[in-house]
Amino acid sequence: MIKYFLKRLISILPVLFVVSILAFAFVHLLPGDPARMMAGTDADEATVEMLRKEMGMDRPLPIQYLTYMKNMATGDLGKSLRTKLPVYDEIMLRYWPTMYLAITGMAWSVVIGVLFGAAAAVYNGRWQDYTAMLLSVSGISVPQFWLGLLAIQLFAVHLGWLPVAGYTGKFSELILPSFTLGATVAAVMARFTLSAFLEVLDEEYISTARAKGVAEFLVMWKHAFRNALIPVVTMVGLQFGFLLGGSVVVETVFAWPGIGRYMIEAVGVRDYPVLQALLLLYSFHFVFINLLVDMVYALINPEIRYE
Amino acid sequence: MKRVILTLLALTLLAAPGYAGTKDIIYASESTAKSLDPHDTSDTYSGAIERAICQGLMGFDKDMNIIPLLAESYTFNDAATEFIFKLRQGIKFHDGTLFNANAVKVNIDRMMTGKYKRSSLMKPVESCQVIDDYTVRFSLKEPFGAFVNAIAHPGSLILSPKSLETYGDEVSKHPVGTGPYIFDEWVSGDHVRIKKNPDYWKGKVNVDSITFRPVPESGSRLAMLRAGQAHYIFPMPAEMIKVAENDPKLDIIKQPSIIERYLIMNTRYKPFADVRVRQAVNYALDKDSIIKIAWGGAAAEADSIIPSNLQFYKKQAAWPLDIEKAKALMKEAGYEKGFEVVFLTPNASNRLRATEMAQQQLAKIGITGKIESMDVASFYNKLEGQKKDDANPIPFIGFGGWSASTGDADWGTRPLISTDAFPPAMSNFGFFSDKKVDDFITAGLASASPDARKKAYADLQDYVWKQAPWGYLFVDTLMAAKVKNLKGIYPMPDGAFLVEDAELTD
Repeated sequence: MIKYFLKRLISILPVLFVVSILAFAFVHLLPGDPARMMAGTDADEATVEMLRKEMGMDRPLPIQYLTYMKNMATGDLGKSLRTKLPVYDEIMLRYWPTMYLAITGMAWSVVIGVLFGAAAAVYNGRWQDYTAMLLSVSGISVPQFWLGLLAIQLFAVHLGWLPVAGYTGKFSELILPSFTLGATVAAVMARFTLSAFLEVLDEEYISTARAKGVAEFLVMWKHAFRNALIPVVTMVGLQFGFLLGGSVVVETVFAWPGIGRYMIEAVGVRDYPVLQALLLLYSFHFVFINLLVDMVYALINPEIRYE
Repeated sequence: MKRVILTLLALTLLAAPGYAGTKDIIYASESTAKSLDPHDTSDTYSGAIERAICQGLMGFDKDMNIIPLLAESYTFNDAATEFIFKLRQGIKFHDGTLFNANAVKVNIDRMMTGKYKRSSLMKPVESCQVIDDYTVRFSLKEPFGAFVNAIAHPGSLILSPKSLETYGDEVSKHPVGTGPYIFDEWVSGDHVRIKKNPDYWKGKVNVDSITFRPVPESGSRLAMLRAGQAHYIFPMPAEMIKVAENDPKLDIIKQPSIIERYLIMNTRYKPFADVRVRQAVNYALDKDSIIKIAWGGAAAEADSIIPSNLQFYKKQAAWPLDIEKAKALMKEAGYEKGFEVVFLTPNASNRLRATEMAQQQLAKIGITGKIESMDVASFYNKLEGQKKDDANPIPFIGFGGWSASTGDADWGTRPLISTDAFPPAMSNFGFFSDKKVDDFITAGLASASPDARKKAYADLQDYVWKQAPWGYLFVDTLMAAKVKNLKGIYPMPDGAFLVEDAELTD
């Protein structure tokens, strides 16, 4: 068991290495000169040239990559070209706000999604089913920025119940953005739960339970719901990565000080060290979540370990 | 039961955050602060926050007129090579350090090391000398008539010499100045907060603190203002102006900017080397409809090569929309059948829309071509990558814009149309070169006497307007919005703002 985990852990290293090269190449292949963006459009050439030197942009690319990797090995991600503060500090400032948002969004979207999905399955073909699925299709189709702006208009401007945007550490500030962020995932979860549930309801052990005379409530809860939940759990892991990606839009709409918005800002000014670090971080999240899902599988089903 | 409900209601009201009593202002803007070191700041927004904390020898009022701040007065010689500033006495920095001539020298010497983004402002300076405790002299390498504007620029703000010694370049996180507000807190990527300076030398400051909060999405920004969670927003999105106008709690502020928009043509080569072709472009452009449709009405037609808020501006007669005349000029120049160009533009939706409209309008006189749109960084990369002696340059029309941050005619013309400003040195992306223009620009700098400079720039504007190096478009109108009980925050023509007189009435 432990051997399997170790093996899986080591196997992500080459993936991260390839990702680091891709991230570096991708960022440097973008047209646009960071020194120029830093200096401002009305700067003279001397200022731009001075900045280019200072950033080490005048050296050949492979050398820049090696320096970058060497520094990273010692935990130094470089300094933001724009603010001149260490990239690590800049990211840490924004990392937790993004995580709070993603985790809160995930939490309620799982609860709502599974409840709706289960309701749709139990009341299959009745109004509860149609309502849940109508909401779910809407949730998948509605763009997040639009949903976010609409929610702001209703709950913050007209009703005045919640703050519009920004994050200063209050829970009330978390509500609108996390619901907006989780909407798509809740919708996906609902549909997924519905199909998993329906499949389980077709199983023979359900008919057996009913034949035994077990109360319908217990059939649903003990037999159907628990078994339907297993594929749903793995889905949660996969959706989490998606949620982190979606935070780019939601953080912009809600002026959330997270890494998604930071990414957008960094692209705009070609802040290479920040972009590289963020690309690596996002990739790492995906790889790591996949690893976790694999491990949860292995825990649930021992056969997988010997593959 | 009724009583319970009433009690609950009262409790909710008590618990609701109210602004009564406190005088804290929230300023929500599109931009994020990038640095608080004035000498190393290239963006207008950070510069404006710095201006609330620090002051320069000279400064700008809300209409961009130059006013004395830490200096009482100044004198200069006829050749515009020597400037002497008399300093105000008895002013202290926020850390208690006395402001004097030595403090000025320390700051100027720091800028002159050439290591900072605004070092270029002090490029003409040979040396800065302390004459006595309250007098400094700047000796310049060559005549530079616009030097007082460089001194008034937010890049030349004076930091406490003690703070420079303590923090070094980390001063960008701990700015200490002489201004109406003291730096309080900066959370990178989020807000900057400044608080009242109780000992401000000019008098009482009326609010306790101002928080500058970045809200990139314009819909959310307006929503914050409407919900009472911000007091002032900039920019006010032009496309939502109706909503804001209908809200009785809000005021909309409009201010002509110093940002001019124009179409760049590569004038060094055929067909744009021919002045008649360039004039035809100006006759064919329907500026009015571009302003209304692409810019949401938030602009005014350009009436000189520099915007009206720059020093030494002189109004010119507008280029009327006259397709027949444009066609005749094209014919005269030998392009009756027209020619093909490439339209280059940054991909921001308003710029793209303006370029699309120009493309349709110019097609009427036979100038046709595809649009290449790209993000801002790629756009400037493309324009700067041009070589002076490219063998087969493709004629292009690019959507250009410029904000002359010194507020002076020199910086509105020299970097854009002088022969010395070919890229990559400066931003003459159309390679416009004209001996007369160069001479006027040199004459404008040869003296610091306002009369002599005024004449040089008047001649320049009269001449270059007809030469049409650009397809002239318009000057942006800046729009901000605020709650009615906020007074004394002024947007400035360069997109900055003054908060010194901010006041929140009940």
